[in-house]
Amino acid sequence: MGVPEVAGGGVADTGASPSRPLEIAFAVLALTLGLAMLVGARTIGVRNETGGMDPRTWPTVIAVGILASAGWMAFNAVTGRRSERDVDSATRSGWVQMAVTVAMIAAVLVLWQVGLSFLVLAPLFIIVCNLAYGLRGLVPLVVFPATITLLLFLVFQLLLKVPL
Amino acid sequence: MNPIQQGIDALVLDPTALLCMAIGLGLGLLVGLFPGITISMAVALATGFTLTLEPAQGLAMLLSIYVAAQYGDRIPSILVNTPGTPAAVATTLDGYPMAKNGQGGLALSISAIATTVGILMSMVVFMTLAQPIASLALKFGPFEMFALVCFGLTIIISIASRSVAKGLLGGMIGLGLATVGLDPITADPRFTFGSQEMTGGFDFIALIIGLFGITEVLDQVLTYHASRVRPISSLGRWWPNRHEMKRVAKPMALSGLLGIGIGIVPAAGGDIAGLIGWNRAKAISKHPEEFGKGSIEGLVGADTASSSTLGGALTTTLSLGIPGDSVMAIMIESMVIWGIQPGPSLFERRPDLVVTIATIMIVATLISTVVSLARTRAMTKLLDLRPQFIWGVILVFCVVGVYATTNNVMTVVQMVLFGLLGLGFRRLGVPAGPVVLGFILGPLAEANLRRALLIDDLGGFLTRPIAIVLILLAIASLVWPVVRDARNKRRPVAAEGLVE
Repeated sequence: MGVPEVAGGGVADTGASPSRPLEIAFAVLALTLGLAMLVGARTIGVRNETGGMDPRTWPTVIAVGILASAGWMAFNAVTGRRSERDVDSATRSGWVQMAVTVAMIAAVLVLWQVGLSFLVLAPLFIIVCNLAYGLRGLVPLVVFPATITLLLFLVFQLLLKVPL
Repeated sequence: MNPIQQGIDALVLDPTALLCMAIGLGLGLLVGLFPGITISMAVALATGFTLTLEPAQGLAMLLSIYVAAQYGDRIPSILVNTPGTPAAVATTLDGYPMAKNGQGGLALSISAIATTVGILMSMVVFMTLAQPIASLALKFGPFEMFALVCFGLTIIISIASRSVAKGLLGGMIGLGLATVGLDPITADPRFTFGSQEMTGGFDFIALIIGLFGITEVLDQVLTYHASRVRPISSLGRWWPNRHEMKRVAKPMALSGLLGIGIGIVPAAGGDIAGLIGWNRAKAISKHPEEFGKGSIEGLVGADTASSSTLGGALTTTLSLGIPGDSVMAIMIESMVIWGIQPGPSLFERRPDLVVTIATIMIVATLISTVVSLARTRAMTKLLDLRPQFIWGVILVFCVVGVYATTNNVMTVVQMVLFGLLGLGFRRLGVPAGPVVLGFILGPLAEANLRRALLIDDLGGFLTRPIAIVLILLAIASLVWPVVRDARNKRRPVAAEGLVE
């Protein structure tokens, strides 16, 4: 779905361009993760040493697997293989909208933890998100949030007895 | 009461199960209709609601979404040239040209018929093959089970990712996430960092809703490009004539069989089957020149193959306990939470539930067919809805769905973190499928390996032919994509792909 057709039958290529530095950075990150897991696996405390396969063995095998795949990725990145990315390119407005969305989720979780009801937070969340996504008017800013909140109340609070 | 009657009654005599099925069908059709909402995401979200229900009720909702989405996703493929889900990619090849030629109505009807035939064919195979496979699998010891789990994991790595290295990394990270918590045998804490909360490990629902729900929405927010394409509104006639039905019979039968075979392979789903089915239909057609320009045979080849993977995936999932696709992976974990262990023993312990599952699939298919043929015209109007409308709503339901499973905000925090991790993975080309499968299969792999090594040493694998074959298949599934890519690089013309 990376190339939506536009009016007139043309095709707008929105695919993300390949990036070797990004691939190398990711491989380095994966290598670090593998090393961290290997160290973590070897330092797992075992109460009864029985020999053979103990609680450390399986995580060690996985850490070695992560290191091997990260090494393979690093080799591919350095030799210029497989750098194509099968994703759409991000837009500048997309970054802003995503930042707003993540910030709103974080704010909702904090306020919910503080004690505010989710039934109050949910409509506010939808309204702010819809504003950030460029939606205006009665339906996206009033009707939609109100309907969803009512649905949440009926399904979760009343039917499933989930304390929101 | 015999298990068959008991299994059918669990659905048809329970009003709640029927209501769940109706909701699932409605949701599934909508999910398929809106490009960007995948079936995995919808089923993952629905698990938040279904965990408090009885198994038959929950399965009625989850499986109905699974079935109905197969119908809904064909609509945008045909009218907007945008697949509703990845399984409908091949539908666009001839569906959209048919709609452009003024045969949109015919394409929608014939697509619904092909989908119905595909699913029903695959259910016949499920009902005849699942039990014998399960009986065979019951004879598996820990060596064979470990080898089977390795094969299931490596096959999804090779299929789900364009880069085997990244797929492997995803699988390993999934396995690694599953090690967090208490050791299953000695109860020693692993990677809990002294936190009491982490002794239970990561929450599966938070993982799947994060990876399939939050990631999907955030990625769409990040990459949304406004497109001015409008759904084709002049649909022409709806019903195929006798000549057209006769013409599609052969590609329908062939693609259906192909799809069933592909569905049985763990992780190979409708997207791959659809393209192969389209290609095979072209190979046997008397008019291959029409393919890609609005061929009714091409449309049928793609849709029958794509939909007939469902029964195959179900067979692998229930008889072996290895997920046939990502939806089945979610289904397996839901069943575990209900106290049901999918796998060979399910056919001995709960034969009624297997019958219930088959009944749900068949009834959902028949209802979806009727709804698709009768209401497609009305559903096409929903294609005008902008995706921004549903982003915020999906996020709210992700939060509430996860919270409902534990009543703990920290589980929601886990979900958001998994969502952000999934977004990073997606942008970097690491598929979510192997991560989820690794998380599910990790404990099974470790337990069987430890059991095997208590019986014998690693050399024990060499004395067990089934284990050897499965291990060799696992290695081949990792090596083959690398060899294939190397060969394609040497022959660039041949590497153009399935669809020229």
